[in-house]
Amino acid sequence: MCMVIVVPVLLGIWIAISGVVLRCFLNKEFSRIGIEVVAQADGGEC
Amino acid sequence: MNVYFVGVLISFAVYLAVGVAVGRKVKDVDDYYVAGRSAPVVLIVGSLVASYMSTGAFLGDVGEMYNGLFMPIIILATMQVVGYVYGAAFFGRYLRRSESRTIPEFFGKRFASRRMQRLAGITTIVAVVAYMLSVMQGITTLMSAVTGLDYQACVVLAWLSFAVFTVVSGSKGVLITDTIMFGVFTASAVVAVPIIADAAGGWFPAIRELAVFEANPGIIDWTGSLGYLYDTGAENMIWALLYGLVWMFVIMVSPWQSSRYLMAKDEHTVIRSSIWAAIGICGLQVLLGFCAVFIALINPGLDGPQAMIWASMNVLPTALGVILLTGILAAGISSASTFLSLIGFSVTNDLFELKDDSKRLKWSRVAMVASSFVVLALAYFNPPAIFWIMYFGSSLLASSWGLVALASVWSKRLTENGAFWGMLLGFLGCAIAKAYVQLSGVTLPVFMDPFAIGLVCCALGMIGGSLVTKRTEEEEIYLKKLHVLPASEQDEKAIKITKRTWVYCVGFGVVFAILMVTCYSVPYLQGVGVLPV
Repeated sequence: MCMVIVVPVLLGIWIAISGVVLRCFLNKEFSRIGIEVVAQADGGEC
Repeated sequence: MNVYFVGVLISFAVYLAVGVAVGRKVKDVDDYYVAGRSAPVVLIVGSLVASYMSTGAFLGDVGEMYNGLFMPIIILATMQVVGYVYGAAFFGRYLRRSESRTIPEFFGKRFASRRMQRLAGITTIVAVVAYMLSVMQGITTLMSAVTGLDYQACVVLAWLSFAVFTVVSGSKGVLITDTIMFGVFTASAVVAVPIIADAAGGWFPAIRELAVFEANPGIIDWTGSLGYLYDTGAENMIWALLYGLVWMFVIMVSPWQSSRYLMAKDEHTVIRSSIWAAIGICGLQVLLGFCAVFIALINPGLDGPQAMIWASMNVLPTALGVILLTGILAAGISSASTFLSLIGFSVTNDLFELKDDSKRLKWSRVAMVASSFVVLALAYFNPPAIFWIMYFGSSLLASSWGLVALASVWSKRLTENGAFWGMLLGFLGCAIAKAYVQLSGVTLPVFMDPFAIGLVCCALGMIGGSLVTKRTEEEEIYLKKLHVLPASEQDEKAIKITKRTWVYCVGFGVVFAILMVTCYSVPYLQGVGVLPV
């Protein structure tokens, strides 16, 4: 029965993870050309 | 002639008029092939969603969810949409940067190889024809239900509906009509779902009833209805995860999705539109899933692919029913028009090297007409099997292109030979396995799906082919160039906006989980008596 709750939550996490991966990727890509990375300004780096 | 048929005819006329009007503005080959590389986010999102959401989604997916694969297809749909995000970031941007006219041309440039371009062109045409056939059958099923005419007459009507304006208008027309169609089917589906839920007794009571539905036990269980596809929940889950992966690859690299990025005005547009397309498609598919099971509750005796058509004509108010049917038709036409244009471009750009631009335009149109006749003939003699033909086309593409496309951007070891053999073996592995299953009637274990076999063959081909050859200097230089961000993409303001897009993705994930638990899990548990009502 608990899978009825676990599956939708896992699917939500799966989507959210893609956002986190995108954040890391874009920070890395744009930091290469010397543009200030927003993540660094926020105090975090992937 | 009933009101639904009149509505369908009017929508045909509108799409044709737009296609012809835009077709007159086509000045050169770039306009025709890649819409002048100037499309903004709204047009790219419209075309991404419209090309994806075909009759396969509205009739095929809804039909399978109606029959008992509700949660497996929700899982599959949710898995696949992240393909937009990963595809845009890891492949689409670089594709746009290559300034190719087709994706096979990108492979040709990347590996400095005509045979690679030709092979990619051939695989595109075969997979797209299979997929287009399913869409054509979907449009025909719809036309047949609406007009009352026989299947064969409707095949011709369906063919006419998309072939004429695609041939005339090219990519620019397809982008604009795609976006209009996207608006029509999204709006009509969003309005229709609550009305259908209401007709089923209200959203929450309907889910509670479906949790213990005797006419189709397990229809909304997380495992899907046992015995419909596979006998165990574990097998259904493996199938959902496997095809989630197939469709993720399809969304990441398939020509009918990633080719939209070639038309984007810049790389920021690629990233931003991918997020909105992911959100749009996930939202739409989940809504359609609920729609399917509500229809099952209202009338459990339908043929699956007819469920949405029946609801449009029998549950919704007439005006909304007409709009939804024209919306479903629009979804089919928009996908078919994208597929047809891809075939035309691949024939003249990838299979044959036509140098003269006016000849390219002319022969693109000839190839489109010819291939549309092939699909017309196949659809004329084939019985409808919308869902499974669509899945065959996607499996072929995913197993032959998926790994090769990603490695073409990110691998420093993949050589032209490895890419060629990877793509060829991936394609053959999947096609032969599928043919064996069909002809022998043998049911392979779920983990030995033709896609999985094709993917393994592709990986072996890539590794083996790359081990026996070395990268040429030309390949090395092109790969290095591909990773240099063009000056035109270095606008600080645009970069800041693009970098913020990840928030929408995370936000959508959270909202998705909350809504699914609230609108599905809780009423389900109430229905089976675990939670109080």
